[in-house]
Amino acid sequence: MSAVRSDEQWERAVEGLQDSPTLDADQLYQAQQHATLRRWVLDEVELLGPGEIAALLPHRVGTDSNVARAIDKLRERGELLAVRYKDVWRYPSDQITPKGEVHAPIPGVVVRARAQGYDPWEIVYRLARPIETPPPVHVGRPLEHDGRTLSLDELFAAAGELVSASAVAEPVHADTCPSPFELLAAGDDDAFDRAVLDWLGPDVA
Amino acid sequence: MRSIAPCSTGSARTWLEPTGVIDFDVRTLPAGDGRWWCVHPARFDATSFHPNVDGDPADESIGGRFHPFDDGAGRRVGTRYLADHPDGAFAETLLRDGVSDRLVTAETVAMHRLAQIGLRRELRVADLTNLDPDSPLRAALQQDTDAYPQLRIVAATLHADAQRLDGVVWEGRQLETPGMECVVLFDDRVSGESDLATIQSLDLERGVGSGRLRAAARLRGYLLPSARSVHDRRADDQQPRS
Repeated sequence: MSAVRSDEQWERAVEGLQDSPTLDADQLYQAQQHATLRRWVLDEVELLGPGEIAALLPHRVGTDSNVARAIDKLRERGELLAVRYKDVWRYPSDQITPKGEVHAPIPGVVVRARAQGYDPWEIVYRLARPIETPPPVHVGRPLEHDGRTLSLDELFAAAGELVSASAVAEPVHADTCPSPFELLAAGDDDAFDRAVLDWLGPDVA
Repeated sequence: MRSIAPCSTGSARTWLEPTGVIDFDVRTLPAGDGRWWCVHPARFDATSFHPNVDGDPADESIGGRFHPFDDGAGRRVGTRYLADHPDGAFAETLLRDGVSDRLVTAETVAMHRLAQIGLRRELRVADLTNLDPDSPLRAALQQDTDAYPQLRIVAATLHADAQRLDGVVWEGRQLETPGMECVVLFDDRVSGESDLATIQSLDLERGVGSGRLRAAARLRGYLLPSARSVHDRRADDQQPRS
């Protein structure tokens, strides 16, 4: 290929690129992550329409013709968690108790999460996905060495033992772990509070 | 192998204060020391630290030799790697071993810069350069990624040492040149803004930075992108011919 032809191709490539929309790599990555998260929520979380959620909350919204408006108000006040999908608000059923109330901690968690920049999809995802916490064998944490003086090679060997112990640890499938929603359903509010603490940090309000 | 985290609903995080002592040398890097170099993403300052927020320290396929790791309270420690020669900075980043095609893309070149870094204050680092020739740790520092999870525990333990070190210095392996040193600094001890200074920051697509990259690539047997050849030829065409 001649140098002249190469130059022409180079010019065409540059001209084409200068007119194309630019994509920030971080934004593209975040968009992909968010799309994956939304897909998971749509696949795994029972989402109810306004009429269905109203039927679960008879004490809060009544049964008359203003039900839809009452649901909207609860959502707008942050008392009901919802995601908007295809122009319809959808409400996770797991936020409702068998007695027809919103689980008491939910509104506070939603307010705190929104204040930290989480959008409703992310909040639903965090509340519905199995809780993951660091394993009991902490690879990547400081080694506890019980008062002994270790040489660097002894430290390295002890680190190797820890890595090996981690590698053979029985895997626990995430499917068997409870989600925060499931902790609420089981009445384990303390565990729910710890899960929220790990996620959002201490409530400073 | 990536470990799978068992689930737990009741693990309050606790500070694990090491009660023992690690026997190692400490080296002081003097204030004003300007021999350090790094290759960094162009969109971040050369003196910024990678937060390392993602990734499992047990997974050797991600991160680097001494990251990611957590402190005793479970907080992820950010890092900044430096090398004492531009070739070392390239060898530890764009021109690493273990890349099958030994080719750097034009996009990668465009997205990175080479920077010379100076120290605004004295830094104290754990010195891993004086290990015995038969030391397993020394051997691990010369290995590829297999030993990374172990080395991250070493880094975490040295970071947790009561001497509150600023980082770790070791002999870099990527260049396989005896005496070439690398240092990793910890973001909770060293401030990129007040403790480090960018002496110069070089574009890798042209000029001195491009020359440095080409020299390092030749040394490492790497190919540089063909798009650069076009660009370089265009630039060469504009030079007066003898």
